Amino acid sequence: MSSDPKEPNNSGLENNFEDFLEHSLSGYISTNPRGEIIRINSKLLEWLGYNKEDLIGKRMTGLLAMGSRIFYETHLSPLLKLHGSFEEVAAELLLKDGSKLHILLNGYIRNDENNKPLFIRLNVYKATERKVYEENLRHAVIDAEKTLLKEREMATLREQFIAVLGHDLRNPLGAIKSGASLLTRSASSDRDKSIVGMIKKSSLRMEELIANVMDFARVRLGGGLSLDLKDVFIEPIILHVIEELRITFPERIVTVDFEVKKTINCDADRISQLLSNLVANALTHGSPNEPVKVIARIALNYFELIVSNGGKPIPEDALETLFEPFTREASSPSQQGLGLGLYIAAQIANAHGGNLAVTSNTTGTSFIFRMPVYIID
Amino acid sequence: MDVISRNNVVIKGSGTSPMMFAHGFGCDQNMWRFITPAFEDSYQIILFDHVGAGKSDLKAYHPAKYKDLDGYTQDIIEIAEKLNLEDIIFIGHSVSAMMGILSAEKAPHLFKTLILVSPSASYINDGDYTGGFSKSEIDELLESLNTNHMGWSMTMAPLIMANPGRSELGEELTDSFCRTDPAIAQQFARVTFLTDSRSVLSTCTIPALILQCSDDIIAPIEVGEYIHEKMDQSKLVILEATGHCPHLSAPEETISAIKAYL
Repeated sequence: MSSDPKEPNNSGLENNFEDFLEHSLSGYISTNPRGEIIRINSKLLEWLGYNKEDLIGKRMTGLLAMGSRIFYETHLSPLLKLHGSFEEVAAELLLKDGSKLHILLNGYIRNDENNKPLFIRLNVYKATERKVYEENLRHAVIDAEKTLLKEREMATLREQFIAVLGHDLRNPLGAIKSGASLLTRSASSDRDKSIVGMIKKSSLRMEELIANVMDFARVRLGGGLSLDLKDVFIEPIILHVIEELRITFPERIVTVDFEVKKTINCDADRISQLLSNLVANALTHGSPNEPVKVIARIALNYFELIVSNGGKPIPEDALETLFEPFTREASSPSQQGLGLGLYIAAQIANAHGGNLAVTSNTTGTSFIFRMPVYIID
Repeated sequence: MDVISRNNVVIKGSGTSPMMFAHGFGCDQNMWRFITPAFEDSYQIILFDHVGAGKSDLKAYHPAKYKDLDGYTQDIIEIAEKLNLEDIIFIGHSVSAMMGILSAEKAPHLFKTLILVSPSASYINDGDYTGGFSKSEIDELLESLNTNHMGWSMTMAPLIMANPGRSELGEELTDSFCRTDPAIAQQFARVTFLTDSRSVLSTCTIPALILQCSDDIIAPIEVGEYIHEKMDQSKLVILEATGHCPHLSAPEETISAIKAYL
């Protein structure tokens, strides 16, 4: 470049390493193996607020704030001795005016051919902005963790409460049921019989609700639904469920269309519970003037259980959350139940490797449970 | 959990008399690698990492167990018992020097000699006692560890890189040396720098050598003198070495001081 007469002749300064180090934007220090400062550049002196003469011969660690100083002695100094270098360590400088400056520190030790240490060099980078950013991140993480922890505690508490409540409700309900059964025999008047019938019907409904609540808690508390899988003939199981519901809802018609000849590997009690939830749901929400239809069949390699009812279709937005817990028709708050029935039914379907779907339009509403079956001829 | 793998116990040397090395805060058993070769011919060398440091089993770190020095002391005794050690020469650096004294207090039958390298009975100044630090300075350290996720976790990155010029340290060193989980480092720092072990010094019945560096900001000379005064059967040697780790900065001087005492 010096051949070009228009370029100012600055090659002397440009190639001057002394100048490069002195006026660099980062700090440089060299110390002897004992850690006493041999050289220090102007940038670092400017940050510290000292003159060069103040620091030559002093211990380098004296420039660090106390926390960093201890960290240096216990961790970085051994690293230098054993590994030869360290990089990107966050530390704090102690400035002459008593304030502190966040820095990043790189360091290495240079040895002679006999592996005797000659000197230590340290590079110092200002990290004030970075530190603020890191602090903000750190606080955000701490806040998020706290919130999460609180939410988890609340959720666990809530679910434990539900489990205990469900359990404790069972005993008194058992007493009511057996009391009602005893009264059935002695009830003579039609009025008495009707009252006892109502007690039994309500007890049954309540028993279902409690079972659902406890299953919900079981699923949510992490245990999940456990299945007792056996090869069973499904027909008597389904008929038994329908029969019970017919007694409870004597004024309603429930039809059954049954086309399953083989055994199915499933948990019979859980399938009963699923069907009972679906049929009870259809009886409660469907049009009272139309029958509830139950179809059980094998289609391809699937066992299907379909429960249909007439009446108004389920609104589109409600369909989306239908299988979520605690969702019920907002339009008819008087309807009994916690909105767990369909949730539990879906959980049972999932546990069997199947699923539960719904279609709803002006001609009616159908819930379809499908699970894969392996037919062995 | 097996004690040996929990504490990454390493046994070497061709002698029978056991010499157990315990590293201090901030590092692991690699700290001793300039010292142990000098004793391998005549002693059985037992090295280990405190739980939470080096290649120890981090799953074994339970904050409740390691909330004070007792948890670490228990580990030292378990290692000694597991290996059926007797008449142990225990060499502990910094906070581990105090663990040695506490172990000897609990199980004196196991120990023959304690060698205390840069020990401190308590780091915080208290009336006439000079610990070297004010409470607020220690708080500042703990706070800086609290916020310095860089210092511990990030020093790991360059360690994985090649280590030209120091090949004698071996490969295994590069990926494990001074590896410390930041959360564990924080609690270990708390235990190290906030424990006051002054009361156990005078009851120690095992002979002890105190190796005190001449310019150590972590354990100043007053601390070495204090420990010497309180421990009846102790000998104090002031090393020319400076800093807190004479076994790293002046291994020859450290070795000859230990040999002269033994």
